[in-house]
Amino acid sequence: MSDRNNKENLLNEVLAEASPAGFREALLGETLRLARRRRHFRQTRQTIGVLGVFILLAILGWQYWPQAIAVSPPVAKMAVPTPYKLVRTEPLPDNDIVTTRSFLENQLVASSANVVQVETSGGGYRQINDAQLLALVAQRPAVLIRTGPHSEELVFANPEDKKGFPLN
Amino acid sequence: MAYRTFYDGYFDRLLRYLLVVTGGDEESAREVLQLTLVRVVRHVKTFDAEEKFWSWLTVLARSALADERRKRRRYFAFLEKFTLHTDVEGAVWNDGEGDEKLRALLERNLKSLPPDEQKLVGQKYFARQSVREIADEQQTTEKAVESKLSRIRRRLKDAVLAELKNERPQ
Repeated sequence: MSDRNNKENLLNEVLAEASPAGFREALLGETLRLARRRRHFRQTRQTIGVLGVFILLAILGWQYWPQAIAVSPPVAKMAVPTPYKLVRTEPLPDNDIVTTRSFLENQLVASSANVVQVETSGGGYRQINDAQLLALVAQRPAVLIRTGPHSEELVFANPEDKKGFPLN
Repeated sequence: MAYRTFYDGYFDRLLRYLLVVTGGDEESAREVLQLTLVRVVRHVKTFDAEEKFWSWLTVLARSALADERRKRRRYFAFLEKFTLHTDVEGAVWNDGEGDEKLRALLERNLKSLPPDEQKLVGQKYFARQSVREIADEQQTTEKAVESKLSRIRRRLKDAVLAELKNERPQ
């Protein structure tokens, strides 16, 4: 060992003489404890920072997620009823359009007013049964002959009555 | 462990530096050493050269000393400001100067020891003899040799610190 190192060693031992017992080790322990605490604090701070970023991302994702769903078309559109009916219009092709135009004067045809309008009125008759029919022709001798399940024939004794007669 | 390596390498060096800077005030030097090491833990960073690291340590030590003195003398604010200025400005030792001063003081006080004590110190610290070998040579016990060495170291320490207190840094 060099003379310089020897002197330094002597100097250290001289200066350490009568020093408080265990000062060196106590100070080492204290600063080591402080170093560990600071390291723990730094790690905790980093962890909290990372967690904060994740939470922030989660909140942002949660806020924008419904919009992303709305963009995806079919399911969302069918699920949400709309209070209106969407009608799309488009112009017709020219050949589908019907237009009118006024005739020229020489093409006009006038009709004369010599037509009689006849109107008929509905109703005015009623259905009668066999007895009422016989009562109606009671003044003229006649018989009602059944010719089928749903058909009958009125036969007058006087053939002239068949042509008609006035009723009272 | 990195911190233990640092501690073993710089504890004595920082203490020597602070003894010089505090003018031999051992109590202050120890307190400031504690503060300095706490600041090292709080603000440690990477340096590309050992000289820069040591320079940074001495800055921490001097600022810790200034804070400690300010705390101690808060009732004499004006006076403190003045003396602190002169002390700290004057106390900007570099490590080489501080250690050289201590070595010079040690050598001077070693030479003032009686011849038998000088011989004993020489055997222990320069000839690197064990206490047992010295005890055998002097036909005494190891405990007696240890006790004598301890008394010598204590006297040397008191003398070195006393001289530091009486001197101001150049």
